[in-house]
Amino acid sequence: MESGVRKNSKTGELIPRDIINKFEAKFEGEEFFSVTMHPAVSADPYFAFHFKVPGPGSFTFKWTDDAGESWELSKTIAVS
Amino acid sequence: MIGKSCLFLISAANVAGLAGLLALGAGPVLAAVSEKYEKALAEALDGATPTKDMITLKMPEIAENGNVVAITVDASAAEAAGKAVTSLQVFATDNPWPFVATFHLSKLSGKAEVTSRMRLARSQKVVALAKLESGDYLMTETFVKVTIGGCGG
Repeated sequence: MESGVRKNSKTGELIPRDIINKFEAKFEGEEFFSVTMHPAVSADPYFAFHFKVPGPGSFTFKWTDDAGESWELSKTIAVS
Repeated sequence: MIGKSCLFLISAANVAGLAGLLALGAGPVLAAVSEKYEKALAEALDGATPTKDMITLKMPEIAENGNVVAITVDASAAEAAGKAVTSLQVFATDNPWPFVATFHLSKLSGKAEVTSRMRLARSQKVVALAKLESGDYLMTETFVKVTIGGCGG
């Protein structure tokens, strides 16, 4: 990660910010929780949040960074 | 990663500039609130006056490491009172940037409570703001003493 205020020690130029800026959580394709992040969120962001499970289905979690690159993870949940 | 984080906090303090240094020297740093924060809060509120009720902010009184400070914002009391919470926003009043994160909730968010970890450049007040579906705001704050502000103190 790069905070955006760090300078290149040789040239004195600011190193552009590069952080994960968005997290989205979906259930069955519907977004129920998202986070907009700024550099004050600790490295390797950690979040704990609640969700009211309407029934069995699948979650999708997506992280997006300043370069536009994104990572997605899916997980299914069963309700007995 | 820790090395980089330290660099961030040190250089961030430099960017914050003379005002920050003077505040440190003068002593009453406890009350220091950046202009950027005041502007950010005014923007978020957009003229509304927040109620200081039904929201809690749980953070350690003393944070040994400013890079990783646990934070829990809980506005479930508002939900218990029948008010839907649409977002929770966190501000650091004396960081180089006041914005920390905005948590967007929905009808499927079982409870308006989130936990995360944040950075604090130095001892300061942290503010949590909850936006209600009605357009009203709830606000609370807590003071966190930072032993080692990232690395530079």
